[in-house]
Amino acid sequence: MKTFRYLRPASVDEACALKAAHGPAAQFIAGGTDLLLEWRSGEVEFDHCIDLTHVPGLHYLDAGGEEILIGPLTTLAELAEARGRGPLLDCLGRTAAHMCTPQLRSTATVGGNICHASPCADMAVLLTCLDAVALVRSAGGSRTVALAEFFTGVNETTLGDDELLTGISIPVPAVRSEVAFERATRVSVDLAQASAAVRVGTEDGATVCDAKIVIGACAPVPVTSPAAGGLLVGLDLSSPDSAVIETAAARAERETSPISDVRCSSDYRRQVGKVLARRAIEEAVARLHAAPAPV
Amino acid sequence: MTKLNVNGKVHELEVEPHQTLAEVLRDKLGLIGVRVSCGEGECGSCTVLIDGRPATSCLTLAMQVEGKEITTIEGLGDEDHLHPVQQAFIDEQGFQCGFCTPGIIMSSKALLDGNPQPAPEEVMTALSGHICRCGAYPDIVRSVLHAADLMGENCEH
Repeated sequence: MKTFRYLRPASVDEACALKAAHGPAAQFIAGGTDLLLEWRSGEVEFDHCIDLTHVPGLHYLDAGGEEILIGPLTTLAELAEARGRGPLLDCLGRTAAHMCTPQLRSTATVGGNICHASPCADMAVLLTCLDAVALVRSAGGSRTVALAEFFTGVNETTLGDDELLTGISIPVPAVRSEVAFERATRVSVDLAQASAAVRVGTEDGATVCDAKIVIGACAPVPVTSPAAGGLLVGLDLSSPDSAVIETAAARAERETSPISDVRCSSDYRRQVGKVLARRAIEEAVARLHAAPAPV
Repeated sequence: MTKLNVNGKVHELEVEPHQTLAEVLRDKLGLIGVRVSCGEGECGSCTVLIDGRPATSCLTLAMQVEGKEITTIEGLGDEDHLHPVQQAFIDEQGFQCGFCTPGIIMSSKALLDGNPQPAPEEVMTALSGHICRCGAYPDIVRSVLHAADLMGENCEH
């Protein structure tokens, strides 16, 4: 009978020590909404299952200061409920609220979404757009990794065999900013066929001074296009040039390398990725234009 | 031994690490109101409440939820004392075969606990993780709205 050993560490240190002791033969489990499916199908094998859900210090959501800190055990439901706390958390909440199902959102975690590193992972795409940084611990110490470098391939991250994600830090942008996220799916409860996250910022309140465009599900990892973001600088907020937006969206799409899979063809991803990028740019710019200027 | 708090009672059970909460509730506690249909977390028929929140019991390891409060349909009410949500589904015939109904009732109860007078769209959003193969969706929404009225009346007395 296929089974595994269940381990329940009582601290981050103990969790890291257990992972170090067993290496790739051990897997961390939080919500388990991806892990258990993959274990059953044989895609993933492990002898030891390390339950993180009883470890204190991993479940937090702190938006008070110079950065937003999200603990890896923060559930998608908790993120969906954290509205009215600034444009970044609002977009994270809106995005989380459209992922999987309400029941799955009760146990599925932000940390799980990132560490499982599916190319379609919505949190991964959006957090990359927000310049998030992963806080990582091991028995040997701790380090930080920009999310831009965290994802290395399909279901692959830079996390070592003995490392644990202990937090996600999102810097509050230096200028007033807004964020938008768009995704395309076959049916409403589905992984993204393509997605786009856009952040725009303004200093003078009239034009875009900073922009970042990230496209998801169109490459093994989220793809950021600095060139495309650069095209949006100078964009007028009150009457944005749609040709510029179109060009920026197309430029972002050109840096992706989509494949055909069960959800759609690479051609579809190319076309839709561009459309989603355009819509996300338009939405972010509209939000920035409508947002009240700081007093 | 794993201690599970189910419907207000603590049970000490022999549980294998890979066993899901759904399996344990059904096979060890006889709570067959917890349904397993897709077994992949997409249909919602296995929905139970964990600390008051609707959760997918077919994708939750039983060992993980030690210390949590688990509620199944059997914990809501029985034939002699139906919970208002159960009564509402009977009043409004919110089902045909009834297979998906327990899970839907659990999600509905959680919705009404937090939002006592939901709009129809809010009901649909809250139940978006449930599939009803018989297509009783309009009857389901009507039942939940009726449950909201029944629960409102209960509060007044």
